[in-house]
Amino acid sequence: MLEAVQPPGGDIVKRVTGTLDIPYRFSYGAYYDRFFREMRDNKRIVGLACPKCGAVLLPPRPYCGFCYTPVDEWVELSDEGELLTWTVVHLPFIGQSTEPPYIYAFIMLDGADVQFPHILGEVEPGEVTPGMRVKAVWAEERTGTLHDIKYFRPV
Amino acid sequence: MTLQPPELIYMDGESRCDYSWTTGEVVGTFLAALRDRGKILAGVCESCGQVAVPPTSYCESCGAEIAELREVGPRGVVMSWARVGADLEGVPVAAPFRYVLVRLAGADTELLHLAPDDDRITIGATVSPEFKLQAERGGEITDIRWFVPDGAQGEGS
Amino acid sequence: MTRPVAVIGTGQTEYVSRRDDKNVPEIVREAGLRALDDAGLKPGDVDAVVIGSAPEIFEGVNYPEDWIAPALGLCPGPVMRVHTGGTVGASTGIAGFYHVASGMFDTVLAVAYQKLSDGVPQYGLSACYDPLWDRDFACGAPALVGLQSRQYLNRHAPHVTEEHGAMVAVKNRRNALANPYAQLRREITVADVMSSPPVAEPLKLLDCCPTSDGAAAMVISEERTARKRCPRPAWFTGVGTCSESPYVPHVDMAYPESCVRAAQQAYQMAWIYEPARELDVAEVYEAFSFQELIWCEALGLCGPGQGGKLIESGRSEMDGALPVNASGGVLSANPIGASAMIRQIEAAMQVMGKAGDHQVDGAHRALAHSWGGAIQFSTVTIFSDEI
Repeated sequence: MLEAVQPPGGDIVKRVTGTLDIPYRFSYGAYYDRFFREMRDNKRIVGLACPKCGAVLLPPRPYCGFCYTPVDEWVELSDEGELLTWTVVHLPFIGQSTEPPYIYAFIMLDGADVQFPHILGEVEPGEVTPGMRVKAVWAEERTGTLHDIKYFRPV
Repeated sequence: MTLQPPELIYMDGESRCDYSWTTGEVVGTFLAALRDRGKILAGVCESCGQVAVPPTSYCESCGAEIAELREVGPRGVVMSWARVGADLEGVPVAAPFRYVLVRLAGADTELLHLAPDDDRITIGATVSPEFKLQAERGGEITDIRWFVPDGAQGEGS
Repeated sequence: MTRPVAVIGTGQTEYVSRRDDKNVPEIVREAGLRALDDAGLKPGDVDAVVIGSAPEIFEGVNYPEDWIAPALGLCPGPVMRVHTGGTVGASTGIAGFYHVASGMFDTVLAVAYQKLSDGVPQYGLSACYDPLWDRDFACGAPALVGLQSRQYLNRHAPHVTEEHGAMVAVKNRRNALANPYAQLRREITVADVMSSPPVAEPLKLLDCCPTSDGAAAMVISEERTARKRCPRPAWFTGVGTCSESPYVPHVDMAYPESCVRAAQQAYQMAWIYEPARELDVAEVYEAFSFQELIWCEALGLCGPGQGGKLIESGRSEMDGALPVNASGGVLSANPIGASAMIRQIEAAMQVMGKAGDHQVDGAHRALAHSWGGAIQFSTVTIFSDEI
C-alpha cells in the first residue's frame, strides 16, 4: 500500500518515547487537616458522627456518605479494632511505601462504621485469622499522614 | 463547632510516567523521512484526494484509507501565528518564539510548528523548514528545528 | 419505556500484550470498521460516535477522543467520551443505547479501547486512589481484589475454597481456545493455578488477568434500521448501572450493593424474575478468578455462598445450563477500557448467533456484567433475540 516513499536504508520509527513529569500539591482541606493533626500531635484517630443515621464515618469529610447529611461532630475512635479482611501483597508496585511482602488490611476500629486501611506487623501471614483484634503501633516521628501509625499488631 | 484554620495544607506528590508511543506504519514512515532524508511527507486520501500533513493512515475528512504518501513543501505559507513571550515547559526553543500554522506547498492541511520571533513571520509569508544536522536528527517532528521566513535562511539564532 | 434499540454489528481486534504495528486511533479504527462492516455500513453512515477508555494516564495522551474520532469517519459530527473506571466499556455501550433510545440519534458507533503497552499500567493503577488515604498501601487492583477475595472466602468457608477460584481460571482459559480474539489461549490445570506464584494472597498469578492492547466496537441502532440490516439483532432488553461509595458504612465487597442494584434494575426492565433459570448465557467481568463466583452470587445466578457449588456442578461450563464466560472472560484478555464492552459484545454475539466456535446453542437471552473502580461501579446489560 505504501511502498511509494519508504525511506531507503533506515527502518521506520516504530515508537516514540517520552516522559510526563507532573508534580502535584494535594490539598488536605479542613477535614483531613483536623484528622491528621490529631494523629500527628495526639496519637488519636477521630471520625465524624452523622446526626441523622448515627454512622461514625471515615475518612473525614463534610457529608455523610450514607445519607448525605452535613456532619461536624468529631468523635474519638479507639486505635484498636477488628480485622475485616486482609491480603498478603507480593507484587512490587509503583507508589508502594512498604516493600513486599506485606499484609494490607481493612480494620474496623472500635467505634467506627467504615473500614480503616493499613498494614499489619509483628505477625506472620499464616497466623492472621478473620476477626482478629489488632492495635495501632504509633511511629515516634509523625508528620500528619497514615504513616504516623507504623502498623497494626495483634492484641 | 468551627474547624481551626487548616495547618497541614498540602501533601506534595509527583507523577512521573514513561511512555513509548506506537506510531504505526504511516507516522513511522513520516518520521523516518524527516530523519533520513530531510523530507516532509503527506498522506493522499484515496477517496476525496485530500493531502494531509502530518499524515495519518486514514483520511480525517472523509474516513477513507490513505492511498499513498507524497512529498510536500519544503516551502509553505504562514496561515496563522502566535508569539510566546515566556519559556514554555516542553518546548525545545527559548522564548521569545512563535508558533506557526504552515500550509506547505501541495498540502491541504496546516502543519503546526515553531518559528523565530521575527517580524517577517506574518500571515501570508513564505517560510522554509530549517532541519537539524543529520547526526542530530532522531525521527521526531523536532528534526525540523523550525520554519524560517524568506531571507532568513542561514541566519541562525 | 424507550423505543426498541439493538446491536446490529460488532467488531474486535485480536487481543495481544503488544500491538507494535498500529497506534491508538488505528486500533480503534480497526475495531470500528469491523463493526460497521458487520452491520453492512460504511464510516460516515452513523449519526454519532461514543468513545470509552480508562484514564488518560495509561496511554499518556489527554482528551484522546480528539485524536481518535477522526479515525472513525464521522468528522465533523457528534462525539462523546465516557469514563467510569473498569466499567467504561459497558458504560460506553450503554451511552450508545441512551443516544438511540432517546430518539435523538438512529444509528451510533460505540467504541472502547486500551493500549497499555504504550505506557506502564502501574502508573495508572497506582494513581487511582485518594492520595491522602490509601494510595501508599494499595497495590492497584490485585491488592483490592485480594482483600475482596479473602473476605469472600472467609465468609463462606469451608463451602468456597481457593481451589474453586482455580477451577474458574481453568474453565475460562479452556473456553478461550474457541475464541479467536482471546489473548491467552493455552489450557491450564488446577494444580498449575495453585502452584503459581502469589500476587496478593489468596490471588496467585494464574488467578489474575493479563494486560492487553485492543479495541472493540458496536453499531447500535433503532428498530427500522435493525430489522433492515440484521437478520438477528441483539435487542437491549435490560440495562442497569449503579455506583456506590467505597467508604460508607456496611460496604460489602464480597456481595456488592452496586452489583445487586444494577442487576435488579436490568432484570426489572427485562421482566426477568428468575435470572438463573431465564438467562441462557452470561459474560461477567472476572479480572480475578474468585470474582466470577462473587458476581454470580450478587447477580442472582446462584445463591449467596453457593459459588463453590456452582463451579463444581458444571452448570457454568460450556455444556452446562448457564455457561459463564464462553469467550474466556477477562482472565483471557484484558484491554482495560474495552473489557466491559467485550462482555456486551460477546453476550450480543450469542443471541445474534455469531459467536462461532464458542456459540452456546439456543442462546436467546444473554447477560453482560462489569465492575470497576474500588469495586463501586457496576453495570448489567441484557440482550434478547426478540422484543
